[in-house]
Amino acid sequence: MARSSRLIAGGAVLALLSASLFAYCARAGEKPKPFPKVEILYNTLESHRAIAEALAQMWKDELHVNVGLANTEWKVYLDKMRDLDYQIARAGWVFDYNDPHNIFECWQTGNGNNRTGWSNKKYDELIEKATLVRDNAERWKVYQDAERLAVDEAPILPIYIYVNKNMLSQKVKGWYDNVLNTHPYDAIWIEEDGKVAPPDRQKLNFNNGAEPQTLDPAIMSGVPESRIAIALYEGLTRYDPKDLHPIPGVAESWEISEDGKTYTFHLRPDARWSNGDPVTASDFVYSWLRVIDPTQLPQPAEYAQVFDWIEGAKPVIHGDVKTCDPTRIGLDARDARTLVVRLAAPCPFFLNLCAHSTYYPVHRATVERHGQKWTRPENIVGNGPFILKQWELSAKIVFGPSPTYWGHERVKLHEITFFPIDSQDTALNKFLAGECDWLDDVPIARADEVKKNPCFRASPFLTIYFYRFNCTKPPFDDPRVRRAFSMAVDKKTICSKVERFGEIPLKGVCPPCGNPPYKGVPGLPYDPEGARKLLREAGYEVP
Amino acid sequence: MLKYILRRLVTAPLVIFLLLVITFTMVRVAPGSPFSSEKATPPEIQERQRAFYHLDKSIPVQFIYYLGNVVRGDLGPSLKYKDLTVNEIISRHWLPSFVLGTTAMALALVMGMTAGILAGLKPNSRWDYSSMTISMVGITLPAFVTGPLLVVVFSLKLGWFRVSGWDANGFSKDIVLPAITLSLPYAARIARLMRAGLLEVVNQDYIRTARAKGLREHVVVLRHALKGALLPVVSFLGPAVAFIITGSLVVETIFQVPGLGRQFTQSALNRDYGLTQGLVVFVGTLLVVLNLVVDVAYGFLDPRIRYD
Amino acid sequence: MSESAPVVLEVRDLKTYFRTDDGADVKAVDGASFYVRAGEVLGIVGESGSGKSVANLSVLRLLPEPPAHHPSGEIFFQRNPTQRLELLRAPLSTVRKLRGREMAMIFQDPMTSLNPFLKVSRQLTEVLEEHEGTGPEESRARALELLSAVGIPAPERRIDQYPHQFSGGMRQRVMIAMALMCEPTLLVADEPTTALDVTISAQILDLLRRIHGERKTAIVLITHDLGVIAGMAHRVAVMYAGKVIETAPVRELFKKPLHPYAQGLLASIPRLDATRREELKPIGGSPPDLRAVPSGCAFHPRCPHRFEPCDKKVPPLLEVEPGHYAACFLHPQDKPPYRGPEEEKK
Repeated sequence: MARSSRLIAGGAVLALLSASLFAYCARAGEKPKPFPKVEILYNTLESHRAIAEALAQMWKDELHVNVGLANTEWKVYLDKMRDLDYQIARAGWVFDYNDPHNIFECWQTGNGNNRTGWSNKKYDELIEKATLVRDNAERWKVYQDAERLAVDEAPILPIYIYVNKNMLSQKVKGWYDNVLNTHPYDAIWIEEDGKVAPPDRQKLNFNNGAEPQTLDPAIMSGVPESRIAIALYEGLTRYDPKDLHPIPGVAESWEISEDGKTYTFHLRPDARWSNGDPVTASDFVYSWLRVIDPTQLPQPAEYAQVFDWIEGAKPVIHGDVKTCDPTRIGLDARDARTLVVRLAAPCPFFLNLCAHSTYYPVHRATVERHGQKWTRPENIVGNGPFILKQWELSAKIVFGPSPTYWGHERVKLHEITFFPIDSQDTALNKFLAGECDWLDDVPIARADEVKKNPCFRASPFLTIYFYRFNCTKPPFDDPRVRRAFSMAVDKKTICSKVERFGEIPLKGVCPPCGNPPYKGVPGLPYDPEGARKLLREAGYEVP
Repeated sequence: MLKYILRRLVTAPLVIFLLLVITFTMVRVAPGSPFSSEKATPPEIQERQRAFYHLDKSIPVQFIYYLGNVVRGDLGPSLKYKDLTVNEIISRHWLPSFVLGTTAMALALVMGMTAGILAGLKPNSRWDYSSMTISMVGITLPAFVTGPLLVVVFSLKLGWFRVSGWDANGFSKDIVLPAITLSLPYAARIARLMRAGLLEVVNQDYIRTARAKGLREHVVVLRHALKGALLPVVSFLGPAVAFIITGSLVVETIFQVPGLGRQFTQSALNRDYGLTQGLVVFVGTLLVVLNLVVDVAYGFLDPRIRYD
Repeated sequence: MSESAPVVLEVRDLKTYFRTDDGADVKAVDGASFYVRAGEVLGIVGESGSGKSVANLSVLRLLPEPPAHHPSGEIFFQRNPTQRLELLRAPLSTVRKLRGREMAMIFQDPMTSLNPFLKVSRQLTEVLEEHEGTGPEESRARALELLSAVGIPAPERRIDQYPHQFSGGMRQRVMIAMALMCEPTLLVADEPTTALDVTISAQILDLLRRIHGERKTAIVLITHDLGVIAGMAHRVAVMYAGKVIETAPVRELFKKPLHPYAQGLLASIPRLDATRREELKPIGGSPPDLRAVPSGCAFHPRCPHRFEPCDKKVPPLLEVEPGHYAACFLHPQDKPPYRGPEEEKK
């Protein structure tokens, strides 16, 4: 199988080469033109500038192209990206769930995250097709075909896969490196002298990096919020702390229909809200409809589109259907402990989605009684392993174990404190002084100091760093130019000289992820000579 | 004097209104949207978000909505912190800034005035040179240098203080390092202003008169020289107090003080219109009031100034 | 004035130099000697820069040291019949206790010499409180008494006002009242009328004259205006370039000035018996630069009578006529030199 795909790839390359050779001959009479000056768009951050400078230098050295740098403020950068008002722009993508689909769907025509103007009908079809394949190994093959297309046309320049830069006190146990850098607190405990520490010292201090924008799972979207959400709430499934495959959460078991479009979840009888109420199937129906139906939430849910998969939900979420008729949405609380979910298409990673914060349940009576104030410490009711004890704005958030949680026996931590420290320097100092047990990021400027510390743990992170080409405007509307620019970049140098935390060069457009791990295609080689040739073929003057 | 204060109090709302009009328009004209994020939100959902915050209406209509709320004392919702109102954010962040700011200002006054008086009384002496050199360092060394330096020495090496933190119940020793960091540049400015003020006053004829009367030196300084020498310090203090008690971005970030300073910058970066406007109203009011206080203080210090 | 009255203040060979940044000395006072007896008014006359003000500020030690320093000189102050103090080398704390209490000073510019930030009452009463430890009420009563004595109308109201609420003449009256708070034995009036217009300055002089008449305070009256001296002083000392170049009882000096500079000064003042304006003759040239005082007699470049020795030797102050001293080579050089009041007595 592998050999045949390699054969296909080889054939494709050969065909492309001969085609370009033909184009070159056809244009032989034309006079080559000088390459226009291009500009890199990036947002204000030291590390982004360093990479932009490195790229500009490589393009100058290898392709003799003049590259300028345009540094813009974050929100302006986002606008320019959305409006395709750039030539080359830096970008990043943090995976929402552990499946290649999360990145592949981005490059579909018209996807809001595409932002390159690139459109390839065949690619779109392949991605659609993949969602119908239930077996992951088979599905990966479809993605590989799609990835090959994306590599050849190079709408983006993949650069590297991030590493998690955790600082973890050695007394923290039950914490495992993983690609989503997600660490369920019910698995964590504190060890002292090789033994489990007594309950009064089972305390974890963590720097969450920011004040959460909301504690309402329906409208939350960021990483700091999701770190809090996994303490407060629990979905039908949750992630295994080691390899991130979905394991039973509120649902103790489930069945999936033959066509992969109907999921029947069986809720555990001992699932309880923190006020003692049982967690029921209708709680999930209420909570999910709350996100799907724009009239229900006081504030619109940014991540509502993760419910697009549910039958009948997409037109409501995107406003094609003005009023939401709950009976036409594929949600059915058959009884208190049985939830039937019908999907519009077989979504092979639906169990992963069920572990996503937007899919968490909320306590209906509490939400209805307190309105927008239901997330206040005095009101909030959750179903997760921890409960909110204290919330000092911009200072700390404290959690204690929830006695009503079904897995209460398993929970060892007695107290978790989240700091919203946005200065990485302060956070690192706090860690060094023993005031903090876990940081999920460290200041790049102190890389050498950090790497020597035995508490530092680097591991691959399901987040990629890449550059977008604006495929709608010359000179990057020509795939040869995009390929040439990609092939002139030495990603290894960027990882080892500019970043320095062991970032892994990204070859194709998708890093390894999912179960079993997806293996990407080889990607474009680092080949300056070939790059220059491609530029010449595209009709540009290369000395 | 009373008439003057009344007149100023009447014009204050006008000043704040103008400030509000400018801020309100500026934040909306500035590029970038509060709802744009690295991951694309479908346009329909963004539309809904805009409608929720009335941002789909024209700016004058939005302003009338907003003004109505402000008059009722409601600064509206925060666009970023979805669980909180601007009123809540301000009311839960102003106290740490205020406590830190007043402590730092008191510290700055004590240090600055002592150094300034000693330097001003013996100009060109060794004491003068050393205190002015230190104050030059205080002015030029930014908080993002002194703060971490203090942390390294007093928290990491000596372990006297926490690296960061803030006791919600009020004063604790957590305030020491941030207050010193915040006070240093102000102390330095005050020392220089105090010295310059004294040098100018000490050469005045009336100081010679005071000495000719046989007054002891401390009476000459404290009773005769200080009042006049304080005028430049007082005019510096007005805006300085307003800024120092509404929070410092750098110091609050280094020591993670849950104050207003960071909210100000963050709200602008987040395009959190509601919070930015609310903070402008709050700080603007404070500035207007403190400037008035300074004018009144001036009147008490210098009898030649008349407000009519 | 009786020649047997005790000498209150005697300045001998006073030198007051100011060190400049380049290390050179500005010789503001360069060997000046004068004295004043109890109840006597001594006028000190000279152009600006002649050292008359600096000499008197040196007496009260009001000059900042450094830059001021005194290479030579003695200043004797008779506190009471038994105690005579040398001020130049006395501890500053001792001198301070004399200031305002036994030696008071009135300055030239009443607009700037009063503290604008303090009420008049405060500025008056603090003198008594400082020196006598008098309580606030008593001090206030004394201040009111003196304000009315110096001719301030409605003192009960005025005392609680600030200096800027007074006119220039009124302020100088306040200054005078302030100087008199402790009934000093010596009053130094440094150009007390220069900053005032003519009618006001006449009133102030009248006031000083009246005070002297009533209290018999010894007064050193510093002025550049010989006219002021004529009506008030008993003796005169004329200063030029930091030295006393002529000193005599006032009538002697006006009758027969001996030094060409004094002659020039007299010629430049309008006289009631003058017939024509042309008779007013200003002294030619300009006052000497104190950083580079001319050699010999400092006046020689401007002197109409200069001759051979004038630019080589400094003329000594000699008793050319009884009680009338001058420093000039025009006069016989075999006369006895100036030796101060003790010698005079003999």
